[in-house]
Amino acid sequence: MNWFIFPSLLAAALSLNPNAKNVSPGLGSRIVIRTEALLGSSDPGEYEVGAFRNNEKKNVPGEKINDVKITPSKLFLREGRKRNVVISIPSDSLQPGPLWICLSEKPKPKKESVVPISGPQFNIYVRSCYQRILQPRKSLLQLQ
Amino acid sequence: MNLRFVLFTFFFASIFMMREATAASSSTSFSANVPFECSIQNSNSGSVSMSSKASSYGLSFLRLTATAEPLELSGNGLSSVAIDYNQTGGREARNTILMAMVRGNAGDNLYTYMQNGSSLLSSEGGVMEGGFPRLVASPRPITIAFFADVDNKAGQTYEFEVTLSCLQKSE
Repeated sequence: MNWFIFPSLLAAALSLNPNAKNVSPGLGSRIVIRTEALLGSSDPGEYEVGAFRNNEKKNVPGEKINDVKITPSKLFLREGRKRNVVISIPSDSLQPGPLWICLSEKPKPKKESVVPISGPQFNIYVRSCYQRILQPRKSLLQLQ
Repeated sequence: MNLRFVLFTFFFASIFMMREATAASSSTSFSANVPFECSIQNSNSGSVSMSSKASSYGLSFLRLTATAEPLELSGNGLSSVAIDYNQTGGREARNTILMAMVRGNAGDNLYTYMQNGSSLLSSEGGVMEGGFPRLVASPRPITIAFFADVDNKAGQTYEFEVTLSCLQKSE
């Protein structure tokens, strides 16, 4: 029952500059974004990073992008210690335009309850998200 | 005479250059970005159980309803909040309503709600993107209430996910 005494506090962040939003695919099939993750006033713990398509109606994060590689695969954040993070996103299935990088607490595994919970329920998840704008792929002539 | 003039000029020019150098090294410029700050304190680590009552859609439907423990949000001018939800279990709900109530600066309750995931309305009027009041440094309590009209049939376990996202705004 510790989670009642220590409610989760999300104040971790990625060092993604809000004024440098454009990302461009290179020659390869993946977009690589390098950043740092750091803890604010949150509790130390395991966090996860994901990439999401834009929900065009609301300009908020939408569907999660599959096959995104995050390094390190397990992201433990501790106070006063930045961690380098590399996000590698497959560009084949993406159209130029907005996408989102989100940092969230890793959901804790559901605890086995003595009395099984079978009734209707909802869960609340929190995250912080950063928008990047995917630029159209440059032709080989432009890259030279 | 010429040599004196040259030395004199060189002496003053050196002093002037030293002053310039001193002025340049003593001035400080900052080019760092103001950090993106957003803090969410979520007291709802476990699932929020929903109770059921009669639905306005008739006897073949039930209205599920629940109010979560208040969350606390704070942030700076570079952040905004978006709220969204989806259904993760059970037959697709006939109707869903998500409401987030925020205490305003004047002590009034501002609210934001979505119906069937399609519209995002605010007590401040009109369809809004985001819909939350501006985040401030002091934490603001936010209460989330969720309603769903679902089929009144045995054997269905209805589950929903509500996601609160802090969004980094660009300048």
